[in-house]
Amino acid sequence: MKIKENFRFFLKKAPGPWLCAAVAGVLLTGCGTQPVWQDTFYTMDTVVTLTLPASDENRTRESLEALSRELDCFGAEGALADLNATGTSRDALLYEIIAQTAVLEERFGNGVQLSSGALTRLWDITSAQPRVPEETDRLAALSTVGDHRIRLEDGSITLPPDMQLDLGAVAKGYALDRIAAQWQDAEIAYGVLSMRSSVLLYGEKPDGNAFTVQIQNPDGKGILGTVTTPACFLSTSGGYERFFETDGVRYCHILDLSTGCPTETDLTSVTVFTDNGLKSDFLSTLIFLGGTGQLEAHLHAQDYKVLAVDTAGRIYCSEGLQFREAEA
Amino acid sequence: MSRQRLLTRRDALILALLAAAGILLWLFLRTGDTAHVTARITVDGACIGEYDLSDSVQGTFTLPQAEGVVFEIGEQGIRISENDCAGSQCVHTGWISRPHQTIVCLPKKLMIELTVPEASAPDAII
Repeated sequence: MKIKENFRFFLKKAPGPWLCAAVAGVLLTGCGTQPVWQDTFYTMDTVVTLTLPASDENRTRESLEALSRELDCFGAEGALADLNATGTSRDALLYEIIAQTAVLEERFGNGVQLSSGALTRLWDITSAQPRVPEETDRLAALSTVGDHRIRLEDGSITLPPDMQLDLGAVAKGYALDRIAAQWQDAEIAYGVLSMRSSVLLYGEKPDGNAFTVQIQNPDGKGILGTVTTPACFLSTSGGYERFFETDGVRYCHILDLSTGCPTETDLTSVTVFTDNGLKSDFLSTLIFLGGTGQLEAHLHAQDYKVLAVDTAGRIYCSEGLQFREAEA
Repeated sequence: MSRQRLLTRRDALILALLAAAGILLWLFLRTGDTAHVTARITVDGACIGEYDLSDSVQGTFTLPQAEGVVFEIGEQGIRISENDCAGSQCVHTGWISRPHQTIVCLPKKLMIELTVPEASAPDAII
């Protein structure tokens, strides 16, 4: 009797401790997260977000800023600017990028070409004054495209006259590969490097869980869904962020190299998950350009996984890719 | 002597209210409250303003650290309504209102990020 009376007394007179216990219980479930260090900075023509364990030192930002200078085709200085100005180079970074891309082109065809520099500079879609070029200019620039004409020999690169390189299709992916190698040398346990359209998910998360990647809906109305994945490289291509509009026509920044004009693909977004950064970047552009008509084979590939959305909002997903669509 | 109940009706009501409060608090912290989406504006990584979209006064405004940019908060969320930057990618983005959505102006190193209090954010947003 006395116990029951005391219990009733406690509830009536002191609800506070109960509420505190409830709150404490809830808050404690949020504990156990490891401290991480985050940084946001701007380089390689994008915004970079870096997450690393708080205990690890890193030179990631310095490395990315150095890479940005070397690989910028619109810059005044750097390895790529030199190559484009003189037609020759012995730069090891450039050599590696061109050689790796050539292997991919051998397998996947010439939808993506590094030698599109004259064309991208002509359209200049992300500049302050983009405009539709004259047909004669466009065809002249298009005639300079053709990666098979780049000569690689004993560490030396030689371009034919008038050819200009633009590494935009692969530069960010390549940067992820360089940083992953740097983190491996530094024995970093875990990290996430997001360059907005290319992301490195590295190592083992402190909580042991898989990585989660939220995919934005290309129509701008929120989230498409979430992919759960082990450590990997991923890149996305789409026409919904970088474009210009004139006379009621939207021109996206990814060029169709069969016409020299911005692509009219029926895909709005392609994300590729794989084990190499340059490959993820190359493939997201290639598959985006190919449209739904060429998607099927990519969805069955063994060494990479694809998530794509078409202009009707239909979602295509490789088997084996853990994708959960967001609730409407 | 009549049988006494362990709890009176009033006791049961108090207990139920406490349990409900606990559950509501747990849900709030687990899933995030989209009614309290915060827009965080940064320039070169440094925060220049934070606005709770459900609380803020609607309309356009400028910030001294973001020259040439006009922000707007409205029913549809937040957007950059005008910007004298090259590219206009930021203006093209239009309104954002959901957690993790962002608007970026690369030339000005400016970013608007929407956040909610959340127990488990994704590792990357692409």
